[in-house]
Amino acid sequence: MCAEKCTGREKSTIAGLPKIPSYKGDFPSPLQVMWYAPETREIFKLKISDTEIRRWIKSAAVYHGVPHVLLAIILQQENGPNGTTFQKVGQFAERSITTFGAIVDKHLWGIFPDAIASGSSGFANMSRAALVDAAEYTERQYGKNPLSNEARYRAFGWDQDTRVSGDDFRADLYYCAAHLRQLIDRVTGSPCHNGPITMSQLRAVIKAYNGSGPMAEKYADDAMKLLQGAISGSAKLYFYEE
Amino acid sequence: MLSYIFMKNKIIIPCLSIASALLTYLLLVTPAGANAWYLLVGAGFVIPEEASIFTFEVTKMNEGSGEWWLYGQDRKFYYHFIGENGRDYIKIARANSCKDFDPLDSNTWCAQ
Repeated sequence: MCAEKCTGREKSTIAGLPKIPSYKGDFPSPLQVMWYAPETREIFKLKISDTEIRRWIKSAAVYHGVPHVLLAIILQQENGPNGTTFQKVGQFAERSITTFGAIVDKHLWGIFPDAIASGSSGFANMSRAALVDAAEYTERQYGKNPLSNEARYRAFGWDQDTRVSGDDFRADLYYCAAHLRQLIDRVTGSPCHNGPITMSQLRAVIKAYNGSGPMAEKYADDAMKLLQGAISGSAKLYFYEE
Repeated sequence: MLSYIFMKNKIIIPCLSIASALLTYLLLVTPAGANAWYLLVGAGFVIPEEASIFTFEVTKMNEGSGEWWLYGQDRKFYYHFIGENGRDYIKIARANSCKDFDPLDSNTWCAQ
């Protein structure tokens, strides 16, 4: 039996979501250092503005047809803005070690301890299993690569679709959006979801991103509070810029 | 003096080699390395009181971005992490009489 294929142009929105103000300042988190494979025109570029990164975030959300706000919330949840510099440095080191382990593991027959190599990493703190599953889901169900061509091919034609979390900041966003697309389809029970999702479905998607159990429930509650705060103006979505 | 340093190094080098071999064994062959890493980086990761960093083995990790375990085991018990305040996990003896028991499905864990 052949699974129904999506068109790749499906778009999920959040029902009744009012306009949320854009944030144009600097990211309070993560550490302002990133692993990134430059495009040809960026070879000599040493700094990338936060606004440009927010443009990447929007592009990734649009490419996978997931709510832009949802991707921004997840990124903020995974990169707590209230951490100290020490915590941010520690988080960067931990995620870099995990990414290094995953790269070594991928190319050297799984020699790196799984506890490290398959752990959560990158800008979106995704595990290798979740990332690979989401990437394959996008290919199988939506008939497209998890990265747009613009995000995928970098300087000298380098293909950045490595399926490794954390080895490229921009690719991380696309893998995260692909995973959110997969979770939206799963939560709504619609393999090619197209249209609005309710607030309770949104919460279920956020919870599933974090996992299962009471700690994931708290994660989802915190995220929904953040969204309500962003709507009322009492909180900021640092990764959201229209 | 030279002979003293030589002798001293002879003692130190074998000691370091033994310590390195022991550390490598602990990190790679026992679950200690993995547990130490998770304790260092995983918010919410706990080792059950009945087990130790050397004996507790994670059998199923949480599938989301949260780095806690869902199922684990040691020589005597199977554990299921629930993460509720004041009650992190439940356990059941490995030697149990539950019908259709599955260590990775707490719904099959009967009251003992």
